[in-house]
Amino acid sequence: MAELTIIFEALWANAIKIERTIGEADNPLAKLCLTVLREQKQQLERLLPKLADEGSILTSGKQALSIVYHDDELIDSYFRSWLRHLKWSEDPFLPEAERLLTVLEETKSRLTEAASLLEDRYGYDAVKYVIPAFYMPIHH
Amino acid sequence: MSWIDERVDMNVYTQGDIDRWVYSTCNICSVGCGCHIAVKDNKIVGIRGNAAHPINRGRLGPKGENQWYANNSTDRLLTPLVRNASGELEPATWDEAMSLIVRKTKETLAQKGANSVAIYSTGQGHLEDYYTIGKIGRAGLHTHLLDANTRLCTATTEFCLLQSFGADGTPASYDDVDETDVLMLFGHNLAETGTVLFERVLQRKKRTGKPYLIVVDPRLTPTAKEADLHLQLYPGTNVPLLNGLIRMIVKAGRIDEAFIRNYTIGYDAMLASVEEWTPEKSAEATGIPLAQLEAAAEALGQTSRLVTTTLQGTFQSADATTACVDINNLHLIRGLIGKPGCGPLHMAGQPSSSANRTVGGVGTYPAHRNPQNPKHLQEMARLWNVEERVLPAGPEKGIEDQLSLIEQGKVGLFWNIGTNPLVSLPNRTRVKKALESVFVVVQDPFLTETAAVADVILPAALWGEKEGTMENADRTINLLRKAVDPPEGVRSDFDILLDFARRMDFRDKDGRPLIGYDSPEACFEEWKAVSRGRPCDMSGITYDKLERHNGLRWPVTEEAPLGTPRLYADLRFRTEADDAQSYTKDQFTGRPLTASEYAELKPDGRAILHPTRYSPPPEQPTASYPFWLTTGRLVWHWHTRTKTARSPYLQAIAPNAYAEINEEDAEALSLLPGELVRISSPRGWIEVPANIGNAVQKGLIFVPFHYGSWDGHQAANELTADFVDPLSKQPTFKQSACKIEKIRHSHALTREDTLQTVADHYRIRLDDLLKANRLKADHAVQAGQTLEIPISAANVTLPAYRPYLKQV
Repeated sequence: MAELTIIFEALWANAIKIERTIGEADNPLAKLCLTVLREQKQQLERLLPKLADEGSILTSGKQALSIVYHDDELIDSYFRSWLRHLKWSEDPFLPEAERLLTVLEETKSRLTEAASLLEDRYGYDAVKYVIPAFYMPIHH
Repeated sequence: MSWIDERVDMNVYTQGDIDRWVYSTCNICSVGCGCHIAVKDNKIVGIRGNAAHPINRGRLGPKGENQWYANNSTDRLLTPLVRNASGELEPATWDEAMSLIVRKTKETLAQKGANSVAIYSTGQGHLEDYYTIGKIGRAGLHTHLLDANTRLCTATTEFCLLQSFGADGTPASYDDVDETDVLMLFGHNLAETGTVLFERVLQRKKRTGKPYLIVVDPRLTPTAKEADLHLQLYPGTNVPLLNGLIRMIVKAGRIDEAFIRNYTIGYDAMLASVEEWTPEKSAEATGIPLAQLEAAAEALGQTSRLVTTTLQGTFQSADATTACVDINNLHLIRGLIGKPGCGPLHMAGQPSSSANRTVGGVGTYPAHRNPQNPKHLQEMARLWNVEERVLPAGPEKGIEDQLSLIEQGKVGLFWNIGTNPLVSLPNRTRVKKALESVFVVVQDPFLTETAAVADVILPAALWGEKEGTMENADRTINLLRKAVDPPEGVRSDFDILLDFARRMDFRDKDGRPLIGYDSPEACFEEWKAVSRGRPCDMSGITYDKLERHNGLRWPVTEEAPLGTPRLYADLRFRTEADDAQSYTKDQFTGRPLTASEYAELKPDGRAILHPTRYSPPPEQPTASYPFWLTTGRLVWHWHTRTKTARSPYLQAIAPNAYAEINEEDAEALSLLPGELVRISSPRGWIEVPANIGNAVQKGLIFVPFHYGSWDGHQAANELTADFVDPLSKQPTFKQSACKIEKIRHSHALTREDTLQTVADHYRIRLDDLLKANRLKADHAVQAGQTLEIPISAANVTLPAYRPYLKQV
C-alpha cells in the first residue's frame, strides 16, 4: 500500500511541523494539543514500518491506526479552541497559529483519503471500529 | 428516611373545589419530588407535594410550587410556525411543518451523509422521548450527532463514572445522605439548586448533629453559610484541592489497603500524580488556609461514612472530570463506597437528564452499552431488529464539537428539542452565527430566544399535558401521569417524534416500522427489554408499580423488585471489558482508549484509580480583563426562565440579572450598590446592576445565567468562553476573564453648583454622589471640576429562600 505509506509519512511530517511551531506555548489548551500530537507522532512512527506488510495492517497496525485517527479528532478540537483563545487574548502568535490550521486541515483530508483506501481494500465492517465515522466516506 | 414528618406544600389558585388531583413528579430540578397536579375544568390550577413520596414527603421548592403557571400562559405556541421567503415566521399546519422537516432531512442526508443531522434535546423531557430520539437517531438517521443540554448539566457525571466504575449510575443515593457522618458538597450549591434535599439534610443535622458539612465553593453561597467547614477556593482549583487532600490522607495512613488491593487498580499511578501536591502547594494554589485543609483532611480521613456530592461548580469548571474522578479516588482509597452512608453522589442538574444518559438519547448506546464494543452493537441490532452495520460506532459528538462541524459546513439540519441554546450555551454570539447557517427546527412550548434562528417551530406540550417517566439524580424512576390534554394545536414531544419516524418511513430489517410502539407506556415496555441484564435494568418496573411505590431506583429486577438504594454493594464494578459502558479515556487528554489498551489494564470488575494531573483553566484574568467571571443559578429561576418567568411570583422576585461584586473590589472602583455597570469579556458585554457584598471573593464576578432576552443586555453567555472539559466535553462556564466598567454621566461643575444641587438634579443621594467621586462631605466645589454621575441604580437585594430556617 504505497499510497498509505505516502499519506502517513506526510502526516508524520505535518505533526513535526505543528510540534515545532507550537512547542513553546504554555496555555493549557496548547499543552493538551501538544500532548496528543506527540502521541500521534509516536503512533505514526509505529505504524509506518507496518505499512510495508499491507496484508496485515488492520491486525498489526490496528491499534496505532485507531489512535492516530482519534488523536486527530482531539487535536482539531483543542487547536480550534486554542485559536479562539489566541484571538481573544490578541496574542501575537495568532497569525502563525492560523497558518497551522491549513496544515491540520490537510492532515484531516489525508486521513479521510486513507480511510477511503482502507475501506475499499478491507471493507466497511473491518474498519468500522477502527476509524471514527467522521473520516469515513460520506455514504456512511 | 431522614424526614420525620410530612409537610404538604401547596399552591392552588382557583375558585371552588378542584375536579381532581393527578399523580405526577416535579419537572424542575433533579431532586425528583413527588407531587399531584390540581385540575379543574380540564385546566391545571395548582400543585401540591406528595406526602407519601419518600424523597420529599410533601415538600416542594419555590420553582416547583410555581411551575404550573407556564401551562396557562397566554403566549403558548398553538400552531407550528415556518419561516417564509421574506424571513418571517408564519403559522403553518402540522402537515406542512412536518413535511418540510422530512424533506429537509432527506435532502441533508443525501447531500452530506448520515452525520449531517443533529438532534439536540433536553434534560426536562421524559425517558420515553429520549429512548425514541436514541432509536430514531441511531437506527433511523444513523447519526453521531445526538446531544442535549445535559452536556451543560450532567455530562461530567457520566464520564467520571465511566472512568472509575465502568458504567454510568451514581453509586450512592439520598438514603446514604441520610445516613452519612460527613457530607461534602463539592461545587454544589444545594440550598439554591435542590432546596428540598437541602432541607432534608438540615432537618437531620438539627435533630442529630450529623452530618458534618463540608462545602467547597468559591462563593459564600447560602449552602456555604450552613457549613461546618467552608473551603472557599480560588476559581479553577478543584483538582489542586483534591490532590492535596488525597495526598494528606495517604500520608496520614488513612487508607483502606485491603480495599485498594482487592477492589481497585491503578493505585501507584494515582498516587504518583498527587505526590507534588504538598499541603503548602495545595494551599497556595487554592487560597485555602493550611489549617482548613488539615481540618478537611482530618474529617475526610477519619470518617467511616462519607458521601460526596458534586454539581455545576465541579462539572462546569476546568478539569471537571478529573476533579470528579479525584472524588471517586478518594472514596475508593478509603473503601467508602457500596455501603450505607457512603459513596460519591454525582448529581444531575435537570429533572430527567439522567434518563437521557441512561436510555441513550445522548452519548452512549441505550442501557449503558459501549459504542466501541461490537458485541454491544450486535445486541442493539438484535433488540431493534436492524443490521448491526447500520448502527454507528464510536464516541459521540458534544454540542461544542457539533458547532464546529456546523461552522465547517458539515451539518445541514439541527433539531432543537426543549432547550434554549441561544441563552444557555457559552459564547452565544458564536452559537447564533453557527445556527444561522443551518436549517433549524425548534420544538418548544414557547417562542424562546432560540426562535430567532428557527426555520420551523413546533409547539410542544408542557409538564402535566403528557405521560411518561423521569430519572432523578439518585437513579429514582418517577412517573408523571397526564393531567390535562395539551392545548389544541399542541403535541407532545413523543407524538412529534413518532410522526417524524412514520413520515421518514424508518423500518427494521424485516420491513416493519422501526418505531413499533404508539404510547409512552408501550415505549417503556420496549425499553425494559433493552435494559434487561444491564446496570440500569428496569425489567421489574411498570407504570402502576412506580405510582404504587412512589418511584423506584434502578436496577429494579426480579431479584430486587423494589429497586436498589446503592450500587456496588457487592464491590463488583462494571469494568469487565465486555460489560463496561466505555473503554475509558486517557484521563489527561481525553483520547478514547482502544479495546486492547483497555484489556491490558485488566480491571476485571475492579474500580479504576486514575492519575489526576492538573490542567488550569485556559482563560485566566489578565491586565485587560482582570477579574474572574463565574455564572450560575438563582433559587428563584430555572435555566433560561422559559417557565419560571411566566410565574408572576417568581418573576416579580427576581426580574433582572445583576453582577455580584466583592465589596473590596467595589470600594476600589468606587461603585455604588445597585449601580449599572458594564461587564465585558473578549467575547461581548452586558450591562447589569452591581450587587455588592461578600458572597463572591475578591477578584471574582458572579452573574446568573437565566437572563438572555434579546431585548436587553443581560445575557451572561455573551461573556463566557466556550472551552470544554477534555473528557466530558462539558463547557467551562465557571471560569472566564472579564472586566468591570462604570457607566456614568459626567457633570462639569459651575460656580452656581453645590454638591447637593448636583445630587438633586440627577436624583441621587448626596452620600452616593460623594462616594461615587471619592469626595468628603466637606469637599469644596471648584468650578470646572468634573463629577461622575452613576447612570442608574436598582435594588438588587433578593429575598432569601430558606424555609428550613423556620423549622431548625
